[in-house]
Formats: sequence, C-alpha cells, structure tokens
Amino acid sequence: MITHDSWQRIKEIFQSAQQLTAAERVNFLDQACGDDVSIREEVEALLTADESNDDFLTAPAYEFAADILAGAESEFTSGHKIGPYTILCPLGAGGMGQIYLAEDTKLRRKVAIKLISQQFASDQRRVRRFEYEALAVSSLNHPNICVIYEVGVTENDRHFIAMEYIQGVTLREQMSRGPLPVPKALNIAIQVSAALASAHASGIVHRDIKPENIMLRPDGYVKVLDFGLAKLTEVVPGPNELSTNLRTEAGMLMGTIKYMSPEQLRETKVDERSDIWSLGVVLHEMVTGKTPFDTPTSNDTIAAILAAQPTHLKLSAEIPSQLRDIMTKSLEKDRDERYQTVMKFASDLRQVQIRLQREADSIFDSAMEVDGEPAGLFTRLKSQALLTTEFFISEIRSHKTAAVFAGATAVLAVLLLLPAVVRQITNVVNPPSVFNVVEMKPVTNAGTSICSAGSSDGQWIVSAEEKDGKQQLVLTSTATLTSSVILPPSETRYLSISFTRDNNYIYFIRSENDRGSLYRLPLFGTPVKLKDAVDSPISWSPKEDQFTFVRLDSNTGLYSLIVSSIDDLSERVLATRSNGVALSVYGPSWSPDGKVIVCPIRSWNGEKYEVNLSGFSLHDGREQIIGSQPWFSILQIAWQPDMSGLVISARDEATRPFQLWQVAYPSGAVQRITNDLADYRGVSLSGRNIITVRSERKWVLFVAKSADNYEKGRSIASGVSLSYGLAWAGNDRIVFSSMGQDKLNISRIKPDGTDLVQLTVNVGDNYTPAATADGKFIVFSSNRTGKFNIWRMSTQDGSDLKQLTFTDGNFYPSVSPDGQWIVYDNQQGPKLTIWRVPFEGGVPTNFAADYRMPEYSPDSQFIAARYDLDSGTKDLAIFSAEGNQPLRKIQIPVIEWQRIQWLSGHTLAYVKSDQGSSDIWSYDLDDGSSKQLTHFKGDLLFAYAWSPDRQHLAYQLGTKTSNVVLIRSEQ
Amino acid sequence: MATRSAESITQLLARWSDGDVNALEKLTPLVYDELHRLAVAYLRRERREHTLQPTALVNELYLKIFDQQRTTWRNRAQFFGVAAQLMRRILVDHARAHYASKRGGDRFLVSLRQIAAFGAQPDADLLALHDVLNRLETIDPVQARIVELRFFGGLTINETAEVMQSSHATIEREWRTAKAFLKRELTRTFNS
Repeated sequence: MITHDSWQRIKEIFQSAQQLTAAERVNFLDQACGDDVSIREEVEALLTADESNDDFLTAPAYEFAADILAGAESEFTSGHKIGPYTILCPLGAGGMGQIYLAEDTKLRRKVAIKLISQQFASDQRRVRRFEYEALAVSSLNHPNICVIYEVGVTENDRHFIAMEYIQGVTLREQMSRGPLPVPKALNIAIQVSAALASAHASGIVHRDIKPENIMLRPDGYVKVLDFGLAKLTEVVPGPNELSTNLRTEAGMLMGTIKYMSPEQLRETKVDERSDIWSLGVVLHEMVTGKTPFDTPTSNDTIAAILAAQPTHLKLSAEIPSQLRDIMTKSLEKDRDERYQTVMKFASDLRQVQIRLQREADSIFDSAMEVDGEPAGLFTRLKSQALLTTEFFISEIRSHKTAAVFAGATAVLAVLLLLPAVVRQITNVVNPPSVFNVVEMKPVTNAGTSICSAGSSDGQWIVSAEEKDGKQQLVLTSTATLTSSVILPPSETRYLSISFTRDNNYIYFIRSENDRGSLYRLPLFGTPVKLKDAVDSPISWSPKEDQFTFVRLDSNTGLYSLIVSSIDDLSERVLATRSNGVALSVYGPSWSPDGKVIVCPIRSWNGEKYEVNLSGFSLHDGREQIIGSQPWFSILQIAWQPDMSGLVISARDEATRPFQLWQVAYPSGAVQRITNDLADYRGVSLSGRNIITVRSERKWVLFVAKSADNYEKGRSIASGVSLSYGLAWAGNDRIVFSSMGQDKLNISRIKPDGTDLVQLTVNVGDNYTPAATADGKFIVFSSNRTGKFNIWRMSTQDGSDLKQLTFTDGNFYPSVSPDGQWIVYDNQQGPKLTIWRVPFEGGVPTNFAADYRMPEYSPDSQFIAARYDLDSGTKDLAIFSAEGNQPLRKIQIPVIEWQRIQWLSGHTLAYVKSDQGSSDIWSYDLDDGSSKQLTHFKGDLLFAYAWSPDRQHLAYQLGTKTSNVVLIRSEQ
Repeated sequence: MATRSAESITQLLARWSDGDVNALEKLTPLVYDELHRLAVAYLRRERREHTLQPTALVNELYLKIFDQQRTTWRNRAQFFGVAAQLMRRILVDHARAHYASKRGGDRFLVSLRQIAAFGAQPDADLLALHDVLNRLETIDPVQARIVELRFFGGLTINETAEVMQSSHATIEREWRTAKAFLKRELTRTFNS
C-alpha cells in the first residue's frame, strides 16, 4: 500500500522520469530508486499507465455519464433533505413528476413526496391556482381521501406535495390481474364515492378519477389520491370545440382521456358530474376488465366518448342488470341525464351491494336454520351492519373518543366475518334507523339564512332570512323551491321556528328584551304573541296539546325545563338546574311516545366542561343520561319518529364545526351523519328529510402596506372553515392557524406569499399563535396531550417544542416584548382568568380574574385584556404588568371573539362590527378618541395583526354563507 | 440574477470560506439541485448541437446563480470548487442508483462499456474511479482536488490553476501524474 510519504517519493521520481527518453530513464531509475524494489515497481507502473493515457479522462465526467444523467430516473437520492423530509427512495413517477418515499424527521413518520415537474410549474398562474386548490384540498377531511400534509417549495423553487404514504397497490395494479368480482368492485366504487361526496360538498371536483389515482390498502381501505391536482396538468380547451392542444398532446394524455367525461373533452367548466362519469368508467373497467370506450387510438377514444354507446356491458352475465343500469346512467353523455350527485350514485350501488349480500345471506341463513340457530336477529343485524359499516369505519378512524360506538362497530364487523359468534351478542338490540344520506339540496341560496324548520309532511320549509340588516320569514316549497315571504323584514331576531303537525300553524320565538317570546302564525295570517320568557325553541307533545322549553332567569342563573299547555298556557316545571349546570337554551325534544323529554345539559364537573344529553321522565321527572359520549356543544336536537334515536346538531370538541349526528336511543351509540367542515345549525325532521342551516366559511389572508390603503392588500393564502389566530414572527414572517384535515395547524408564510410551511402536523389542535419580539419562537395553545395548554416552538421548523403549562383550558398567549413572560387566559373554570408563566417555563401565577385575551404593550409594562364575555358587556381593561386589579377600564364595542392589539404605547387597535361588515379601529388611550382604520365593505374580518415594525398589516377576510339545506336520506 | 437561492448560495459560500463547516452542508442541496438540472439540460442540448465546450456546464451554472457585478474572483474560484465536488457527488449518486437498479447493487464490477469509454482501457467505471480517487485523496489531496476540478468540474488546466492558485505547469504536471495513478489503480482493481 502506498503511503503519503512513499507517494511523495514515487511522484517525484515519476515526474522527473517523464522528462527523460526511454533510454535515459533506466539509469535514472536505477539511481533514484536504489534497492527499493516496491518504489521502482510503482514508478514503472505509473510510467506504463502514463504512456497509454492520452485519451484517459479527456472530457468531463458529465460527458461520459451522459446516459446516466439523461436517463436518470430520480432526481433526488437517498438522504437528500427537503424541509423536514429526508428522502428514503424513489417510489415511481406520476403524471406530474417524481414521487419519493421520505421520512418526516420531526414526526418520525413516512410520507410520500411528489415533486412537481418544472414542465407544470413554469406557468405562474397555474401554480398559484394549484396552490389555492391544494390548500383547499388539504382541508378535506375524509378517511377515503389521501391526506395532504403540506404543499411546499424546495430551496431551489421546485414545488412539492407532502402527503400521506399509503401502503398498498393502485387499482391499476390490482386490475392488471383481471376484472374484479362484483362485490369487490362495488365496495371500491362506494368508497371512492364517499371520498368524492366529501370533496364535492366543499366544492372541489377531482377531475382525474382513474385507476392510477385509487389506492387499495391491505386492510380494505380505499384512498383517492391527487384531488384537484388535475388543475396543474389539465389542458383548458376553448369553448364549444375540441382543443387542438388536446389532439396534439393526445398521446401524452392518452392514459387520462379514457376516463374523461364528454364535457371535459368539450368544455371549459366541469362539475361534480364529470367525476361521476369518470368513476362510472372505472367501475366499468373493474367489472369487465375494459374501459367502455376502449379504442386503439386516442382520436377514436375521443370520438367514442363523445358519441358511442358503452361496449362490453351486455357481454358479462355475471354483472347484475341493476348494476348495468347504474353504469349506463353514470355514463350518460348529457350530464343532465346522468346521476346528479355522487351520493345518489353511491346509494344505488349500495342497493346492489345489499341485494347481493342478502342473496348470500339467504343461503347462509338456511344453513343456520339447519343447525337450529335463530337466524332472524343475525340477519337483521347483519343488514344493519352493512348499511352502517361505512359510517362506522369512517367514524372509528376520525374519532378516537367514540369508544362506545367503536366497540359496537367492532361487534358488527366481527359479526359480518364470523357468524359463529352471534349467540354471544345479546345486548345489541334495536339498532337505530340509519341515515343513508343520498342528497344534500340547498333550499335557500342567498347565504343569509338564520334558522329553519320543515313541515311534518316534508312539503314546506319555513326559514328566517336576513335582509338589509332586518329579518323576514320565508316559506319555501320543497318540490319547486319557490319561496314567498310570509312575514316581511322587520327589526327583530328570530330564535327558532316550528310547524304544527297539521301544518296549519307556524310557531316562532323572537327575541324581545333579551328574552324569547313565543308567537303563533297562521300560514299567511298575522302573528299572535302567546307567551313571554320562552328562552329556547319549543318541542311539542305527541298530541300537540302541550309543549316544552327551557327558561333562563339570568338574574338568578336558574334554568328550568318547563311543560306548558297550549290551551291555557299553564305551566309545570319538570326540572331545574343552576350553579354552573345549565339546561340548553337551544331547546329540548319531546319523545314521540310522549314519555321522555330529552335536553342537553352543560356542566362543569369540577374540572371539566362538558355537555351531555339527558332524558327526563314525564312520569316522575327522573333524569337519565343518554350515552357516554361527552360533547362540547349541542345545538338543536330532534327525535326520530320511530324513537330509535335522536338527530343532533353538535360538536364533539371546541375546535370542530357543528355537525349532524345520530344518537341511538337508549344505547347512546353515536353515528356521524355529516362529515365535513361546515357548520350545521339546527335540526328539524320533515318526512324523511333533515332540515338544517349549513354555514360555510372561507377565508383569504392579505398583507397590506401600512402606507397604502389597507383594503388594497395582496392575497397570500386562503382556506376553508375556521381559522384561529394570526400573528407576525418578526417582520418577515406571518404565522396563522387554520383547519387542515380535521385539525387546526399552525403555519408560517412570508409576507410575499412564499415559503409556506406548516409547523404543526395534525398533532391535536394548535392555535392562537403569538411570537417573541425577535420572531424566533411561537407560543400557542395546543390540545395535543388531550388538554389545552400553552406551548412554544421554533418559528423556523417547529422544533424546540416545549410545554409551558400543565393544566387545561389555556388559550391566547402573549409574549412580553422583553421576552421574559407569557400571559394567557384560562377558560376552564366557571370564571375566566389570566395567568402568567416565565418564558423559559416555571410555575404559572394567577394574574387577574374575569378577563381574557391578554396582550402585552410594546414596552412590556402594561397588559390590555378583554372583559368576561358572560357579563354581556364589551369592555376592555389595562393592567400593569404585575396584574391584579385593572388600572383602567375602557368601554369600546369590540367584537367578542376579536383580540385587541397595541399599535403603540398609546394606541390600541380593535375590531368593530357594523352593518354586516367589520373593520379595524384605533383607540387613543390619551384622549379617548376612536378612528376607523379600514373599510372592508361587506367582508368579515376574521383576524388581523400588524408587523412588529407596524409597516405591514396582515388580515384575514372571509365570508360566511348560511343556507337552509334539505338532507334527504334513504332509511 | 439574484434569486433567493442565489443569494443564499453566495452567503453560504462566504460562510463556508470563513470556516463554517455547516455552511457546506446547507450549500450542497442548493447547488446540487441547480447543477443537476443544468447538467441534464446541458447534455440534452449538447447532444442535439454536437458541440463540445467542456467548461460550459459549471460556467453556465455560475452565470446563472451569481450576480457578476457583486461577486469577486474569490467567489468564483470557490464556487467552481464546490460545483466540481457536487458534480462528483451527483454523478456518483446517479451511477449508484443506476447500477443498483440494474444489477442489484453490484457496483464494482460493472463496466461503463455500454455507456462510453473513459479512455483506451474501457474497463474503467465511474464508481471505481470514485473509489480510487478517494484513495488518491489520502495520499495526495492536492492531486485529488485537481482531478475533481478537471474531470468532474470540467475545468480547463488554466481554470484549475486559477482556482488552485497555482501555475499552469504545476497543474499540468500534477494532473498527468494523478491520471497515471488513477489509471494504474483502476487497472489493478480490475485485474485483481
């Protein structure tokens, strides 16, 4: 082995020898090397090598390695880092670029990284569109949708998508082994439908449903990939003509063309029905092995999609005719003739599935009877299980707290697989009628609905609508969706509406002096006031001779559940609650058999706040809690006519939207009816339909220069559903909390809209971020441990995570600009309190009572805070940094959920709402004057924050649209 | 052009030259990606136009990511050094991936014959070269550096001399010696 030292000698001798002729060399080497044979050998070997070396390494390596590079299958290699992700290996190439398996080094989990080809990322507008879409998609929350964790940009401006890594095979791979058995194909199509229904409800069309985008996991789960990503690749054809682009690029797009709908080939705008078509094609391919418009060339395929009837369908006798009909309907050229909603499509598929299952069962049942087993219960449970399995699975996955219900599911699932255990299942009785949602139809569309009710025959819907700052009552026919105003706009607030069973009267509650007053309104007549102090919606006894409601005496804090006669309006009190326990002012519901009134009850059981459903016996007033699931909030509730359960509008956690659920009676088993990010407020059952008000929120984050008009901000991000907090971390980063999947996550973004990085990744909910003065740390509230506590992390990458409080109910932190302290509020107990903890951690101390949302002044000397909401006033107060009693109280009309911010040591900013729009105002602490700073016409201001240097204002504007929807189910 | 990544490359280079070893770690992916993209584009174009400009690649990269007005000669030399090093890494990574996928990871005995000959002895292999270059590094780091600049970076003798702050004659002499060493070592590898 040549050492460093021997090499120096060898090199010297070699370089000298080179200058010599062959003859001279021998003597020279004799002399130079002496007796050292090894050195001589090395030198001679070098000289030999040198002689034949003229064409060795003459051109750069990359010339030689041309093929390696040009044919490179992967751009990144193992170990390469993209943000928090370390590439492990290439997974393959997708339509848009390379896909890699990577590890999220922070969360230690595997992710799939899709690197978008430059080819698709060169058009800035397209990329922008893609980013908005991806942001919207990342907020989709459904077990059949592949989770997008992050859309980011690598350090050299390559776009990538970090998403859930799904182990399994694509449907394409599965089908390469031949057509699938019909039940399996049905199962896959139904799961894909469920994913699509959820996306469609949020206004997202997939656009590229094909077997390559459908993953089958070994556990039976189907996951749909690449929602909305088609926007990056799609060629937008001109109106009314086949795009020439499409023709020329047909070869490239061939794989996709087969699944494209006629309108996709023809028109610019596609809607959810296009996805139904594509899924129809996929279903066709699953059961027959061929796509319905299978031709050798792309031009022929296009022609066939536009004009030809699907082939192959008649060939296979194994395909039930019912299924053929469904496929034919999904492949109607005219989309108006097609299924109009994917829910209906799925529902029809489910019918086939159930029928096939029943056929299988009947064989099975006769076998059971031979064995002398009682088959009736089993069959009934089994078909119930079939109907509900999908919901159950989705629920188990998305809802870890629903333990009871998960247990029930496990039982039913086992039942499906192992009929032998039937005998052990004796306590599963009276499963609730299942809501199999087939359609969600908007009844109003102005986005201004407040509350609603449906008539018992399902013919009419009455709703309170906002109009020009006033409210009116509108009656709508469910058949024609035509409306008429039955009470013109007036300065009133409607709290609830209901029909009598004969549909001759509408009863409504309106707000009078902060109490509720009950009115009776004959259809197209004049209203008559019946009763004051009706503080909740009413619910009728079966005979409609009595009604029940909740009364709240705000002087004493006493809640009463009251039963009143309609004839003489005489009352009796069924139950009362006080001292931190409250009956719901969203109202009770009287059971169809007349024996029980169910009412939500809100309580602090010492340390935890929760809401439960309680049933009160009319016989003896005895109370019984229904089910073991605690809720965070329950709005309206309604009994199902067969008494198998209640439909409730509720949220299970503080940060979740209000969704519709079914609570079985008396078991209390919980099942989701809706599964999206909208709020469903109020429930009334009308025939087979649920009538409710669906509210959707959308927000856009803007940044404006303080020197310009604030209204002229530039939009840098957007999202749906709730957003919880906005702050600056230094002058060049904005942090915000928004709903992604079903969790609130904190992200950071530069003011120019670049460098969007999600810092928390679906670990509990993370919100109300605030930053240190230097911008290096973010403090925020998170329930990742199951309790709401204050945490801090690095703004750069979410590292350096530290938990600072260890109780529960801690929110709205603010860091003192000197970096010493964090103040925050605690909302756990019956009273709001403010606490203070050292930035480096330590023992929190109580700072003040009755206040919330504390904010440090720029000099760390003062704290501004909001007054307790329950008092009904909108004060704020200034404290010294040491707390205790306020130095000063200020009365300004701040919106209750908005923070205040110090603009300087003498000026506060706050948000005031007026005439449907909300704006930022400033308040001068020296002279008490107020000044309007923004004029956001008509938009809702969700959050705002000035940069530390006050040069920029970041603000989130949003819209909230509320419409009455009719949810149709097949039971 | 002063893009975001360009600025950070310049800063990182400065930090690196100030002795911050972490800077190279951070610099690597930036230059790596840029270089890779350029290399692929370069090769495509090369093949089409049949021209050969050996230094075009790193020069092009240099022009692309540096603001000429604001960078010094020192930046440029440093940059070439880094680029050559990274080019080596890129090619080796690719060669590894390429052959691992084709030959189940058997990297040493794979010939580059089907791609292109290194020289008269086509039994050489990029990966083998990488290994023997590592060996050279242990006994003569200066020569290894020259090989990196010349072969992987595609620099001319003059450019290499500029980067190494040395004379044309010295670089030429050392380059020739290094080539002889590598050739000899490669022959030894494949004959043994």
